Amino acid sequence: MISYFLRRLLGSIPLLLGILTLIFFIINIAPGDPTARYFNPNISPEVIAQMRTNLGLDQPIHIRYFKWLGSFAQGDFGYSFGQLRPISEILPTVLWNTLQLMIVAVVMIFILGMLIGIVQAVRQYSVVDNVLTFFALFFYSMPSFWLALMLILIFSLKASQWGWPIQFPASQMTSVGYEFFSTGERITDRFMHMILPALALGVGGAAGIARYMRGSMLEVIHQDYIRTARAKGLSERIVIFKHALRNALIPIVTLLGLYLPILLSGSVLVETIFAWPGMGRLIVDAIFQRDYPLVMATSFIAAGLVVVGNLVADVLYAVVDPRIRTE
Amino acid sequence: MAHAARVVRVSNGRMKAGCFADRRFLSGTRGALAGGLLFLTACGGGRAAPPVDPTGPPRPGGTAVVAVLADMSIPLAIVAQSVLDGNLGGDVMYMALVAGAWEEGRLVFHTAEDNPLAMARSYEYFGPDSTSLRFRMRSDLLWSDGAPITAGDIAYTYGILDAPALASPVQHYKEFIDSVTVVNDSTVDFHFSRRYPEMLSHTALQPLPAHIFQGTAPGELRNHPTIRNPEDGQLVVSGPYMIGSWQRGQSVTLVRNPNFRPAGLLDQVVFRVIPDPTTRLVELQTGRIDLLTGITHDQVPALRTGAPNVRLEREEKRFYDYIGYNPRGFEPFADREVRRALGLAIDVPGLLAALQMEEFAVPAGGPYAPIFRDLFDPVGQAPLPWDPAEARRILESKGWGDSNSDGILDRNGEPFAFTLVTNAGNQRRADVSQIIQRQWREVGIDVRLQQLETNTLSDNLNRRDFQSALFGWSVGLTPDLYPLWGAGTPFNFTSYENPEVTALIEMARTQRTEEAAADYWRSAASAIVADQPYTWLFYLDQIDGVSNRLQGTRIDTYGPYQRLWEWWVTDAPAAEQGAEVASGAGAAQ
Repeated sequence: MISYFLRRLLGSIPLLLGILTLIFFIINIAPGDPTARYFNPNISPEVIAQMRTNLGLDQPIHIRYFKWLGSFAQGDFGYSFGQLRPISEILPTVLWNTLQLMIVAVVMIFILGMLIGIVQAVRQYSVVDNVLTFFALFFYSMPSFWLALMLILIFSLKASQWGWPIQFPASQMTSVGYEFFSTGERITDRFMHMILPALALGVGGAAGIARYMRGSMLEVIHQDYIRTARAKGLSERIVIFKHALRNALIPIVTLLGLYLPILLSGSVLVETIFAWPGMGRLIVDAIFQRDYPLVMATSFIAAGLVVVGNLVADVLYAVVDPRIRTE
Repeated sequence: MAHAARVVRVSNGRMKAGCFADRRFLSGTRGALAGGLLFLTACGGGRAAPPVDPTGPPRPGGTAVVAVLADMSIPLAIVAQSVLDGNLGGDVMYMALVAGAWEEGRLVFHTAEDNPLAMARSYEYFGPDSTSLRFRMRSDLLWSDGAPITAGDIAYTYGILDAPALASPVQHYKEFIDSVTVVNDSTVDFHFSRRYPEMLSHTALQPLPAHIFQGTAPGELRNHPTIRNPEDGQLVVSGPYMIGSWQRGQSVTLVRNPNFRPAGLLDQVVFRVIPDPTTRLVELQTGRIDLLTGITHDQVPALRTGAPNVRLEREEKRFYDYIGYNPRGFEPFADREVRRALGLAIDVPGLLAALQMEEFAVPAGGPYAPIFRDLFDPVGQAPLPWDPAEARRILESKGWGDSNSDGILDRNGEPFAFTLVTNAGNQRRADVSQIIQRQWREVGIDVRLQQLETNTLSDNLNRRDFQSALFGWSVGLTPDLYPLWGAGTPFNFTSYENPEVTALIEMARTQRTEEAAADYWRSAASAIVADQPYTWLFYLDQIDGVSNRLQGTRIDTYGPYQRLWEWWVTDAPAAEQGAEVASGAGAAQ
């Protein structure tokens, strides 16, 4: 198992390098320029030329590539053109901000999704099943950015206008004056800021998991061993949660790893709408500003997450299914 | 520095006191979480509905929250990158020898007599042909770290301004400045290579503290420790507020500069980064922010009906949208009569009515907005009338007819068809381009619409790789037409060149005073309008939403952040309460 894991990790290095090389050339060849932020008639072309020299953009693209590769191989992500500071200072904070959001979203996706899926499977073709199917498809097909805006309009704007007792903030991770709050107030404040973006990021996924779970459970509860368990006189609760659920979980758990890159891509829009200072927003800003070093660094993280996600999926598959381990 | 920390503690105490007061109403049987949640609706997430008394006297204390689109990049005006850099560096954190303002349709510069943001008590022209300017500075000025502000700081700043490694975007300020000499600590002379109208404005750069940066190479200025970590007052400033904290990508919190007089009324001004326009608007409507600049016209109805505590203010006619024609991309655009016909075929008033923009925009006719008292010429720069019949007649006279009766004009077998490109993500321009497409279609012109990401579009414009473009400029407050209309200048996207205009621009730039130059600028503008390299569409107001909680703002054509030290909030604690809270907070720590 460990050697398999290591093999996969080593195998991902050329894959990552290929992805990053491709991105390097695409973003550098793409129209636009980091100095476009100085799109101002009063700034002379000489100043723009000097800025390009200062940023190293006056060198041929292949030279820039090898320079970037050399630094990258030494663990140096470079210097952000837009934020004017080393990328190694930027990444840890934004990555942690996004991970917080993703962790909450993943927990919500799997707990909510699995519960709904189980109920639907157990109550197949009932009114409950049909209603839940309707809502699951409704949320599954809803774009996350639209859901984000609707959540803001309802739970922040309308809640405020209609005087609801609970109103959610529409932006950022904390309130103004957060640094002066007590510990309890801080926890509550973070929680309140987390709810809407986590919902926007996770509801669609939960609906998807519910569909998978329903299908998986239905497949399992029609198996002979479930009939046997019921014939033995076991309670329905034990039959469902002990005998059926374990096997039904196998395909679901593997989705956990695959959801990491999906959530990261979803966070691009959700973080922008909720002004959440995470990786998603950083990627968008970096691309729009043609902040090449930051684009490369964030692409590396994103590509790494995809690779790790796939690895996690494979490992989890082996963990939940002993047959895989044996093989 | 010590004072800065005290300021933060004061606001700490005030904030807690306010929140706890709200919380007492929630005590009793409610659970901790419910109490916490409700508490947040009142304090953390936003604020309790404030007692609005805008008619009362200004009160010190409290925090104002401003929403901004993008974060600060670098807190120095002379190397500003982002809009917030320019606003904070130019109007809030740094003084200048003279302070700008917009008065009676022209940009003026005040001395310390009229504006405490000005360092100079007076100035005078002297020397041969009055090519030198002498400034007598206030002698009581201090940087935020307590060091005196002297003429040496001015000389240092102008000394490094044109260093190539600095690559300052305001390097052109020094174009005609030969030298800056220190007469004594409070007197500084500027010597120019010639007398010209913008001499004074080019001395209005925000000086840097020489005692902090003197040993740093200009190319390394951006990496100076106080620039990289300006929090807690580390960044030495001269203006009314300095940086208390900076959470990258989230917010910049300004606190009072203890050495600026008059002291700012607000304890803190927080600039929160909220990229999405809908979210920004919701935060204004729910009272979580106090000032939002750049509200789009289609957001105004929602504010008027759903946010009674928000007032709308305007920065008048600070932007214009235009269509630029590139003869290199589409040869028929080389004929000015054809360009004029295209303009005549557009019903700008109808367009503004259709988009419900009439309240915030007026049809445009030329490069000077109507706000310029001395430069706008209502005759020479009048908007084109809507006259499709005349447009057709002109095009027919140029050989364009519908030979195959397909509804599209053609000449020598070539249809009158081209691409109109604009930037993606701007709903106003997307709407305008569709309306214009339809109006042009009615006179037989076939236009393909294209939207490009802004950075890509600007690259195409720079390379002159487009046929026609719907784009916009902000209205500069100085009259110089050269950057946009000078022959061969980078931003002359339409490659416009008219020897008469070139001569007029040169004449205007070499006049001694603005008054003398105004005639030439007007003539140059009229000549440009006659050539119609653009179809000017409309001048737009920038609309800013201000919560009634925030008072003392002065928003006009010059901008939203003027005289920030006069801002105050209606729910600021009274002075004696503030003192109590301050002492309480101090004791607690």
